[in-house]
Amino acid sequence: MWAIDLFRDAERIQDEVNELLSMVAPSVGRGPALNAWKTTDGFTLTTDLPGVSPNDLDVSVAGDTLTIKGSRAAKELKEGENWIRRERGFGEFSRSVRVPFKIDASKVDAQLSNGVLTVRLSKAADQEPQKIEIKGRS
Amino acid sequence: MANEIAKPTDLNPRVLYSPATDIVESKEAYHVIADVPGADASSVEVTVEKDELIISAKSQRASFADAERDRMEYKSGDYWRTFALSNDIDRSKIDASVANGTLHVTLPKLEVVKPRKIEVKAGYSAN
Repeated sequence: MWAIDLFRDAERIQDEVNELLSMVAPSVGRGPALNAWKTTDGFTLTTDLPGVSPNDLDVSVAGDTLTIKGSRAAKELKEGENWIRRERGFGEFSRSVRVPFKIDASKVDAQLSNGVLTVRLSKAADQEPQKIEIKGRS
Repeated sequence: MANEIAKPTDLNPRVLYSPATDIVESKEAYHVIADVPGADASSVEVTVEKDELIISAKSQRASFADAERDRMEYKSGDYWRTFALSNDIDRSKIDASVANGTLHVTLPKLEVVKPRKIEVKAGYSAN
């Protein structure tokens, strides 16, 4: 009897260690993590915002800075409900990033799909390389 | 036995996340809410096997193949997690839906068996 119980405890501990070691996915926090790609005419950025409604999300640009801010509502327990486990983040978040160009505010494209926000930024037109005519005396 | 249930091989083994999960118990049901950004109804699977609830989800991401990576602060991966089911759950009525990258599984409790009063008759005889 003893041997069997010890064996079960060892397995349970192993299970718990495995659970601790397994990677916990990033949840919605104060400053969401961003991935960014350089595109031919600007930048594309993505961030995971599961459970955030478009109404609670604000994307804005000013000069060379993109700001993503919003909130994820905390679940309110109803009468007779109680928490068994609570791991998902909630509350307000905000993140600003600078890009190496002036952003064309009229061309910003932001899409929230399956909890993933994708923002496409384009360089303002006046920053496109322009060929300057060299005047010379002839 | 530890991890008797095998992880599906079609999930990304390099980045397999355990999704952040809330569980709320009400009088009638348990509610499991898990963050699975990048997954939708076609890529989420919820199964019950050997008294475990298994959540698995494939994250579908745009690849931006023609763009150059600039900054990578997070890795996107697939999701897999199991939860032991208690005996008070009606396994035939489990319901799942996914919206905005969040999975919601409802596990209704079994109808409580009402206490039954046994009528005691007089006139017991040992014969």
